[in-house]
Amino acid sequence: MSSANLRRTPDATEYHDSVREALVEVAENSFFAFVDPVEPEAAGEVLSMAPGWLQATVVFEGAFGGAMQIALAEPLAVELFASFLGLDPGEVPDDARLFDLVGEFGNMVCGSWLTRNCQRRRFDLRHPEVVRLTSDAPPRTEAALLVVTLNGQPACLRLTFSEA
Amino acid sequence: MSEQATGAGSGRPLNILIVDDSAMMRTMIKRVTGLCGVPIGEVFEAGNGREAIAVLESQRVDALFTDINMPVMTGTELLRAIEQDGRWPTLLRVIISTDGSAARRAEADELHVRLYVEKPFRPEVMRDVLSELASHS
Repeated sequence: MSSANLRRTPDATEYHDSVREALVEVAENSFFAFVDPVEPEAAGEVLSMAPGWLQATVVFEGAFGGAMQIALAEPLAVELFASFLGLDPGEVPDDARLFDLVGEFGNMVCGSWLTRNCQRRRFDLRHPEVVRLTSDAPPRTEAALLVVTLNGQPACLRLTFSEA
Repeated sequence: MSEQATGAGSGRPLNILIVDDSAMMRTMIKRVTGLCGVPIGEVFEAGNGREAIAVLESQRVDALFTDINMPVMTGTELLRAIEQDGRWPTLLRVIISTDGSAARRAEADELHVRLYVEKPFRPEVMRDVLSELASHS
């Protein structure tokens, strides 16, 4: 194998299975939520179910570099907040706490995925950046976008890699 | 400054310091520690390593739970500073992080970290951790 092959920029779709596994681990263990896959042909319809989105971007460096973006339908983020802290399901957090939740969710999924894929190598995660996406600008449907539902509500994840 | 007394050998409740840049994660860890059935004294919080040092300098802390990736001062930098400072030799050190890589765990061993908890974790993991720490106190 040539060194050029060893250093190629990874294709994000190659990692969809391991990303989904990390998502399931985080959702089930810490948020008591269940992940269901969404077929690519149904992705657009599922994404349109969300009235609005909160998106976390987690930049990583180390064995390989890039970023993981995780977008949660806003009602889902509210539900996960209550699950995580053991609160009444109807409790609505303020934006600061909701953004903290989405950032930590993204941090956990990214870290769990990197732990699986970096094996013995070290990596670093930057502080998550969280933004609210307007309802008229939802996540773009594309091959690299992994769409799932958590407790029946839409979520999606995009992995991008820095140039090797 | 003289060495601070800790819970080691005293049998009294553990005072713990939770260091994480996520306020929500600190709240969750604090909540879980309160449900574990292990006697807990005071629970202090810090949002990064620098704030944690300030707490250690002003309070009696028996056990430190720290994240790794944090702004201002990381958990690794915090643990190195504790090692170099020498004022808290009996402080029980636990890492709670999403980073479970072998490289990071090896680094933690060198920094005298007693236990390493990977996020996400189930609440019962924290009970086991606190029971382990209490057995050393």
